[in-house]
Amino acid sequence: MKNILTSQTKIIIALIVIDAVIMVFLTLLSPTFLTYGNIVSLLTRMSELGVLAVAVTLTFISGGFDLSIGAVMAFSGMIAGYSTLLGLPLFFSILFALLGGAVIGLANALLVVELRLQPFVVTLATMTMVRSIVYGFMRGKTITAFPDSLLSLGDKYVLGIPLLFIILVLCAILAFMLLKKTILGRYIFALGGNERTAFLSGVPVRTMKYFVYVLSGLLSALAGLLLVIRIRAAIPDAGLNAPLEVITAVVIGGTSIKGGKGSLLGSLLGVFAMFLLINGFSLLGLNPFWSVIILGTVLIVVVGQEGIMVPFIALLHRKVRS
Amino acid sequence: MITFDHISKNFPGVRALDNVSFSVERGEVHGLVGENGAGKSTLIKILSGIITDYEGRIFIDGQAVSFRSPHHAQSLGIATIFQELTMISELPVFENVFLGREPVLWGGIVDRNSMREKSQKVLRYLDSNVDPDTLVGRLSIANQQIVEICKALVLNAKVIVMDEPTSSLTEHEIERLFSLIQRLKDAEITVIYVSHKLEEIFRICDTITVLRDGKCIGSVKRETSHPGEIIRMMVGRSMNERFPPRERKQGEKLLEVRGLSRKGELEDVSFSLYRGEIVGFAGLIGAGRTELARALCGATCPHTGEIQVGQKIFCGFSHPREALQAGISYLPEDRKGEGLVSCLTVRENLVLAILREISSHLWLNNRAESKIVDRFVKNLQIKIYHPDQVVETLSGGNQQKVVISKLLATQSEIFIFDEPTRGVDVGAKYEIYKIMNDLTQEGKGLIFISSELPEILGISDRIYCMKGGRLVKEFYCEEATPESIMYVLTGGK
Repeated sequence: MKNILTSQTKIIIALIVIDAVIMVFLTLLSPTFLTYGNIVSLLTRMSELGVLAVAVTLTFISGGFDLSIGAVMAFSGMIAGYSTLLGLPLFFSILFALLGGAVIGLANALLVVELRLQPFVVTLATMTMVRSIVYGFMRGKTITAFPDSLLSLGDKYVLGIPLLFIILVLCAILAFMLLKKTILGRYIFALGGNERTAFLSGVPVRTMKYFVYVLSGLLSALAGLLLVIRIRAAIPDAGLNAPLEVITAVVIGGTSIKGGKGSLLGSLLGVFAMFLLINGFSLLGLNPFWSVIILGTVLIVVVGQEGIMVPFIALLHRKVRS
Repeated sequence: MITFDHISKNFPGVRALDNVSFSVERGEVHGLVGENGAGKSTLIKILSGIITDYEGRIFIDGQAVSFRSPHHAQSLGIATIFQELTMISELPVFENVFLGREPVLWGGIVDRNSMREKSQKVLRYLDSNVDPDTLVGRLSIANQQIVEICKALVLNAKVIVMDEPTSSLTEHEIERLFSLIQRLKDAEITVIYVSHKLEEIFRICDTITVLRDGKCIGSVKRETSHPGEIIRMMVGRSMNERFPPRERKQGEKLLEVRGLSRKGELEDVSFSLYRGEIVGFAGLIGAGRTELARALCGATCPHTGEIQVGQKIFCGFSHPREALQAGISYLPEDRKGEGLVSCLTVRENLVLAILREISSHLWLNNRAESKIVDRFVKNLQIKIYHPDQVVETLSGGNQQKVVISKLLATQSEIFIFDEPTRGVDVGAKYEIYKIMNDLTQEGKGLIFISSELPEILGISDRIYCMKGGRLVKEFYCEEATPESIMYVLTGGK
C-alpha cells in the first residue's frame, strides 16, 4: 500500500478532502458561501497568489529558494504604472513590467550561481532592496492612472469563469507541461534531487538555475500585473506577506523545500484551501487572521505526520526489546 | 584488559564483522590491520559506543560491558581518536578538553580556571608547548591530536584507540607521536593502533591483529612475525569462483593520458587504455585514484597534461557533458551522493545522461525512454516491479545496476568504474564483474578503481599502483600478486 500511494499522492488526496470538507461546512453555515458571486470573487482573489505559488513550486523543486517574489510583484506594478504615466502604449507597459521581474530573477541567479551564495540569503537581500526601491519611488502613493483596456480585463469572464483565474490556470498548465513533458522539467527535478549527480550526468546545472530564477521573476511580475488589474491600482505594499503565505501553501501541497519533489496541483490546492478558510472566516464574521492558525496546524499534521510518529515508534521499540 | 567475544555486525547486504574474537592486554600497543573494508572502522565504532546494536560481547577486565553511547564508552575508560578529529575549532584547547564534562562550581558556573590548569598540567606531561587558551582551529593537525590525547588522559582513559593517526602527519610529527605513544605505554595505558601502514605497525606495536572480510584472521606477537606474514594474512584468500572467466583480447589504443597534473591531487599521471582491456587502479584511500577519475570525466579540470581519446586531443574537460560527448563516462564511488537522484524513479535516473539524445528538441519521448529502460532492466536483471518505482526503495545491488545502466545507455567507449562493488552483496558483485567483462567483449575500455585487491587482481588485465597522486608502478596481471602490490602501496619500493 505504502508503495502504491506515494506521499505526494497522499497529500493531494488529503488536500482535496480538506478542501471539500471546508466547502461543505461553509455551505451549511453560511447561505452566501455557495453563491456565484462569492465563488467568483474567491477565484479572482486567489489568482495572483496562485501564480506566485507556481513560481515557488518551480524554484523549490529545483532546490532553490525565492523570497523576492512579493517585492517583484510590487516592482512590476510600479513599472507598469510609471510606463502608463509616461504615456507608453499598454503593450510596452506590460512588457517592461515583465522584463523588470525577469531582470531581478537574473540578478538572483547571478548571485546564487556565480558567487555561490545561499539562495535564501540572496533573495532575502534582493527582496529588501527591491521593496526599498519601490518605496523610494512611490513614496507611499498609489498609481491609479491605468487605461481602461487593462483594467477591464478584471471584469471579463469566459464561460462564467473570471479571466484572471483563467490566466492562473493557463500558467499552471504551461508549468505542468514544462515540468512533466520537457527535458527542462526533468533537469529541474534532477537538479533539486541531487545536484552532484545531475552535474556528473551532464545536466547543465548552471543554465538550469538561471532559467528557474528568471522564470520565477517573470511569473512574480505577472502576478503583480494581475493584482494591479484586480485592485485597479499599483500599490507600494503589494505582495508584502506573499512569500510567507505562498510558501506555506506550497509546502502544504507537498513540495519539498529540499528539492526534487513537488506538485503544482498540490500547491494550487494549498492556495485554494487558504483562501477558502479566509473567505469562510470573514463570511462567519470571525477575524480572518485566525484562519492562518488552522492552516499552520494542517501544515504540521499533514507534512509532519511521520515526524510526529517517530518518538512513538521509538518508544514502542524500546518496550518490545526490554 | 579488553576481550572481544564473537562480535558480529550486519549492515544491509554486508556482514561487516563476523564472529570477531581477540584480546588486548593491559599496557600494550595493539595494532589492528586490514585492507579497506576489512571491518576495522566498524570495530572501532563499536568500541567507542557509536554503533550500539551488534552481536557478541565485550569484556573489560573480565566484566561484560555494553556501550550505550560515545559518552558512556568514555566513562568506562575508552577514548577514541578518529581520523577526522572531532573537536570544535572555534573553542579554546581547554574547553575542548573538558567538553561535555566541565567541572562546575556552585550554581552551575563552569570552573574555567581549574579546566585551564588541569589541561596545562597534562599538556606539560605530554611534553607539548600548546597553550590551553589557543583556539583549536589554529593548531596543526599534529597538535590537535595531542589535544585529543590530553583529553583522553583527563578523562582517565585506560584505553586509547587511534584510527590512522599518521595519515596527515609529517615525518617529524610521526616521530613525536611515537615517543608519545611510548610514554602512554609506560603509564600502563593501552593503545589500540589502527593502520594499514605496516612499517609503523612493526615499529610500535607489541601485538598485531589482522582483520579480513570482517573476520579475525589472527593475532601475532611482533617479535615472532614479519611483514610478509601480515601481508599474507591481510590479502590471502582463494580467488577461484569469485570472478567470471575472462577472455582477453587487446585492440587498438582508446585512451592515452599524458602528464596529467592537478595541484594537490595529481602529479604527472600518464597511462594508456586499449580496446577490450580492464585496467585496474590500486591504491590506498587518498592515493589520488578518484581524483584521476574526476579529471577524466570532466568533474574537475586538470592544470596541465592532455587526454587523447582516439584521434582527438583534449586538455581536460570543463563539464562532464564534454567528457560524455568524447565518450568517457564515470561511475562514481559514492552511489547515493553522486550516482543517483534518490527521490526520482528508476526510469528518470536511467535516462538522465542521454535525455538530449532520445528527446525530440525539448519534448521528452516517453516511448523511447521506456524502450531503453525495459532493455536494461531485462539485460541487467534489475529487480523492480515498475519503471516508475522510486530508486531509493531498491537494494544496494539493484541501485548500482541502475547507475551502471545509466552509463551503458550513453554508449561511451571508455568507462571508469570507481568502486563499483562497494556495499553490494556477493551475488551482485559477480554480476557486476560479468557486465564489465561483457563490455570489454564489445571492444570498450574499462578503468577499474577498487580498494579491494582481490577483485583488482581477479579481473584486471593490467594494474597501475597509485600513491600520493602519482602512478608508482605498473603490473601485468600475470606478474602481480597481492603481496607485491601491497608491498608497493604500503611503502616498499
